[in-house]
Amino acid sequence: MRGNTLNRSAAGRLATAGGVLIAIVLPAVAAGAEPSGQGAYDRSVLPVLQRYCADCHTRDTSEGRWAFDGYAQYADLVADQKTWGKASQLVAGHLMPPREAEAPSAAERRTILEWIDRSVFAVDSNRPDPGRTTLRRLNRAEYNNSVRDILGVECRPADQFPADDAGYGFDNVGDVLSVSPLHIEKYLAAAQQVAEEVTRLAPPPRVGVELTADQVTVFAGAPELRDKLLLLRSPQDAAGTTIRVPRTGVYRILSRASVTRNSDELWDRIEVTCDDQPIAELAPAAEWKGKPGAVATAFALAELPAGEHRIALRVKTPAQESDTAAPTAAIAFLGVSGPFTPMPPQASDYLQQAAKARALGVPILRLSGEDLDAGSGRSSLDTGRAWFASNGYRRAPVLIRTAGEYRARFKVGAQQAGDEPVKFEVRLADRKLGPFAVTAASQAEQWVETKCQLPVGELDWQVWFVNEYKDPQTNAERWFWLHEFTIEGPLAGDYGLSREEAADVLEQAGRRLFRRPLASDESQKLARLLNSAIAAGQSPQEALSVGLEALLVSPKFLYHPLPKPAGGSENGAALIDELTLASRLSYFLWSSAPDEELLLLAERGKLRASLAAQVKRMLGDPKSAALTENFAGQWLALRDLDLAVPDPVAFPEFDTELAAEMRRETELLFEHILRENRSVLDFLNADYTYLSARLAQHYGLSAPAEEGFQRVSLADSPRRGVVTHASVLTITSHPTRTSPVKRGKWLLERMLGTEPPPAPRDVPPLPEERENEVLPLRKRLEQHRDNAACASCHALLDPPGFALENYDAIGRWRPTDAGRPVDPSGRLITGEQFADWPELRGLLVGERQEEFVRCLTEHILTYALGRGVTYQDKTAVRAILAQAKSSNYGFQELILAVCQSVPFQQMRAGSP
Amino acid sequence: MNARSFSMSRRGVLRAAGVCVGLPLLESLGRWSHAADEPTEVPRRLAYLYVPNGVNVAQWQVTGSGENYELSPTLAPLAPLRKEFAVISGLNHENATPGPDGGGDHSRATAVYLTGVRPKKTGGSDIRNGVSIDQVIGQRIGRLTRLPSLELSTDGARITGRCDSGYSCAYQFNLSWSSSTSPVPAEQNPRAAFERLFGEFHAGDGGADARRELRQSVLDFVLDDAHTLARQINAADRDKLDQYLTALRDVEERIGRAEQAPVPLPDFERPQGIPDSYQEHVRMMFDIIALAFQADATRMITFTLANDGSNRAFPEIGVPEAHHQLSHHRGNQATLEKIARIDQFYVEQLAWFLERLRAIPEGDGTLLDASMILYGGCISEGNQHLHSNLPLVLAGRGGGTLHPGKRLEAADPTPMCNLHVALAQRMGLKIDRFGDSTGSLPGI
Repeated sequence: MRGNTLNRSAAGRLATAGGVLIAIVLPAVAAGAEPSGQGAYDRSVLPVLQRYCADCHTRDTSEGRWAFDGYAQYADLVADQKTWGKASQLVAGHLMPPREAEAPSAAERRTILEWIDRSVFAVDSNRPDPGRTTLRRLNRAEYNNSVRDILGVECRPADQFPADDAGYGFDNVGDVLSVSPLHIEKYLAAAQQVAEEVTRLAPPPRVGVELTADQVTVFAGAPELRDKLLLLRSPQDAAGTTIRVPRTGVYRILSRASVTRNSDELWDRIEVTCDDQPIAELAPAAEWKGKPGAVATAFALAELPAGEHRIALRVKTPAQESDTAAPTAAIAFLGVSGPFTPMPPQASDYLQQAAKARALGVPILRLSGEDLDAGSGRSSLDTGRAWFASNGYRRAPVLIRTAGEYRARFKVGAQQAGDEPVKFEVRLADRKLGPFAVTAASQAEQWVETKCQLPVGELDWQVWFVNEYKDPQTNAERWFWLHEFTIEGPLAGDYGLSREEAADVLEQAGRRLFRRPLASDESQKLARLLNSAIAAGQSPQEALSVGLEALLVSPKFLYHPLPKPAGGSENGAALIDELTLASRLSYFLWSSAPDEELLLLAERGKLRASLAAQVKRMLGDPKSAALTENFAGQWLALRDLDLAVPDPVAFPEFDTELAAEMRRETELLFEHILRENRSVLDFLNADYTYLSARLAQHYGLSAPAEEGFQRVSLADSPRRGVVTHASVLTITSHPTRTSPVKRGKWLLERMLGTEPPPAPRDVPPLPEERENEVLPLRKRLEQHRDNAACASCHALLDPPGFALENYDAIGRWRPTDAGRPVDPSGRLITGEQFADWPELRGLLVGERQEEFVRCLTEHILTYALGRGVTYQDKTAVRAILAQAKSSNYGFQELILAVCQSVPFQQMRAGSP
Repeated sequence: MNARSFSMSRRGVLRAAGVCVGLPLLESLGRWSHAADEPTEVPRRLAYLYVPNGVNVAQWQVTGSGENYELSPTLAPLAPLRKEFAVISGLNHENATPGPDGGGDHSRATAVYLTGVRPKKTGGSDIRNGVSIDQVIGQRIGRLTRLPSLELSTDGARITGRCDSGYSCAYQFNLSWSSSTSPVPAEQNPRAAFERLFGEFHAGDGGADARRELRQSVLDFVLDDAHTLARQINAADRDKLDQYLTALRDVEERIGRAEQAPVPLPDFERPQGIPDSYQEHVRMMFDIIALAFQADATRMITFTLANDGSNRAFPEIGVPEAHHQLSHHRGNQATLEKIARIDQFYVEQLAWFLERLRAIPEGDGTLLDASMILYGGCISEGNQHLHSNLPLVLAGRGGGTLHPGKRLEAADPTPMCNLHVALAQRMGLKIDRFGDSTGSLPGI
């Protein structure tokens, strides 16, 4: 065995994952006679066992341990999967026979392993068993993403759920995802929160931008800034601001400025443009006299569509024949605010979309005291409110587009003095509302409400304080405070959802949340729930909220759909129905519910036929970032970075920001390999990565030319692939030092799919460590391995970890450790020698590349199916590998092959 | 229709639908008869406080015996409370040892501590453990209080991938099991825990009746959905759906109880989310336990201070290394010293908590007098993963049924479950066997 640089049979590896055994033999091993069945056992296997194992494993020698001749008949022997699984693992890992005993040849090892694989873990490749996934609930990520993608709710309610337990390395495995009363309590609370968020109506959002001359953005020309004035002196000069308008509506553009006066009637004006289209003209009544002087306020109301806009001011000179003075608009201030017209309240996108253009509530305009401009008298503003100390008014423009009855409500306060309460009134051009008395005690708030008929047009809405008073003795003054007011209407109108519309919205939500069309009895049940809520006094919109709550707590939402056989069954298996297929795809690739396109295709029975195109589309969608977050986060253990706590004394450089950047590097490489359909071997081999300036410095490389993360070549660095990312190197270290054991274990489990066998039952305690021991770590681990009981595992675990000793506990390159040169060489238990990580890596991506790809495939399959992969899946894994290999291991092809595999596409059905 | 008759009819519906939602299978339970439902005059409360990874045994172990024993260095912070607790030695958890299962001592430690049952070694497809003693107690006496039991944790850490040597993570992260396949997750957010105890379902405001009716409509809708599903699924999936139905029924009953006997909101500042400081987080949870006991909102609480195998580092007390890594100390004195420091940190938190309970008067005594607080873990010596002579402190007087102020040396080996039996009996359960018990631990 020693001369053998690569022992192929080691690839016939077997992993135990909690009692489920995975035994898969490389197709490459299949050459030669097929050793299966009792004949093969008696002829080829038994002689090997007798020669190498009989010293400890026969009835006479076993002393209570396992004996290969201890079975009454061959049928019993071959049925003992548990023992043979373990035997396979130990033989493949060169842990049995023990080191001091005579070792079988590579061919002999292979004979045993192949027999175990073909006979003990026999599968009929003509009758592939698709296996079955236990009814599984949504995990936290799936819940959050589903309500986000279906209902547009971003609040991540599932973050409050208990953490999901994991099995087989992933937290989406049905067998271990349980539901407790605590879960139900959280589901109820989350459903209420989500339903409220979907159906809640908020006041229309307001915009308010206030800019002094020096804050105004110059868009064109060369305006001059002089003494807090921005001088626009030619039609080429343009200055203004870029604003985000939340909803289409009427906004006010206001400026304080002075302009050139050409003659008595002909003043310059200020043209207002929105994205270069003229929308209004302002005519400030203050003259520019060549030097800074008085300015006047001018404003216009204009409709601005929702979205981001460039609002610009230009000087505009009236057409005139002769001796025009130089055109000038001197801008002191620019403000954009609004809306100034009643608008329907803001509904969630989901609800608004369902209601089309309909207003879901009475239009409302809400203005704070601060939105009022000074009119006359002594008044001013204070933290959002307006106060009035003498008779006079403040005003705001109000645009009414539909005549009718409106409701006005005022939130007011007073500083009472004298023998009557504060009184105020509203004056419009042709009428008056009020006067109203403010009877609240000083400092208290009070609401005053009235109804009025309002005509169409731009109203000059003036709020007057009408009974000023000053006590001659005490000098106490009567003041009026205006906090805010609202104008709602027209009150007569058809607002909100009707019962029928609510029922329709609920039905649509049910289809998306249950991820299939509702059966007629389900629709009726939903309608009954809605009607009973309406009967209990709820509005249709509130009743909709109740209905959504019910949908969100239903097991039909909380659990993944159960597959149904589509068409007939054959050999004990049938295709799963396309609706379930849609869910499998979307929860695999997006950790979320199917979108409309997937659902429609499945409803029409056309999803399976367009599988490849859909997988490609889904991987191109930003939602596929869930694969990085949830699959890569667990496969590569990136999530553990949140728990990494390098010793702050030894590693002061480390902080949560660095940890986040480490994680991002690996995520970016993963995303790159996925989006560009690169070979999955790039995970081990990539000679490029993505670095921020800080990470580049961490790696001792020069910072990328641009800000943020940039793709960087590693040509001048020994680093290659994810194994040498700081993220992986940190999570596989102890807080104070590196851990070759953890690194070796990480490599074996996550890159090579080799589970270390369980520790033997009688591990002796580790020898007492001498005080002041200064042996290098490697030496100490070697001592540890001298003990036969420890050696079994550590000869497997440690060497691959040694190869990474050139990287410290937070992933920095180090030529020495504690003053000694690092020795990154080693020898794998299967015999291969390596000088350092590049050599070991060469081995992994070369002769042993299939082991890596198989390991990745099994991880993906586990994640895609939500169940542990068993030996019964080995035919499927083999098929996926062959398909992936034929496309040079492109990551997208590998994922497609998983989606096309028997366990993903089929279910057990009919008689087996 | 009141809550009681509602839940009864619910059960009737479930039975009619052929869905099995009886009490979860009490696998670990021996023969027992019905508990006395009548509350004792001052209700007794029981809390299990779990600390991970074993201890520095030499520093923990007390010397001497009986009432004149000498406190150990690690337990020194408890000195002012000397008369309020007993140090117990000699109790074992045989089912936490490797036995036929090999590695995975940390998963097993958590899984066995309150169940006494050897958990099935599996990565997931067929998890199976015993029902834990706190759930047995909660299921028997729980209907007397707002919550039958409360499970808390200050460890939300979830490492990725496989947990401990082939055990599903469900074992390592859950002390409490309500059935052989249903772990009971613990709440980590103090605010959420507070709200479960005191927050919602406050009767008295106007729309309460209407809301209750709507909620009932929602629950009815959902239950009907579950029945429809139940008709479509096979036996393996039915187990999963039973979890859902059992939990739903449970919550429905809790809501009913809460409405019938509202718990007054304590005069206490509503906690915010999870604080940055670990010590503060732990103490906040202790506050909540004290509030819950004081308001008699529940009488059965488990609190996991950290999961077994926890790799928490303690830079705040000068121990930057990870706890679990340190616990494999290999006899190194410096390492052992650090373990002792962590042990003492935890004991200091315990002392703080016991002082808090002692400061709350109840009846003729204090809340501590009415309580039984068992502090400890399922590993004694971390380096070798020993599950014998577990480090345990039992505080409080259990309403006069405990006699603290001493060292209690159980005949070694005595199953830990004997103590579980003894405590459950004091909580009013007529029970003489649990897990691998051989009797009820005398002399506590």
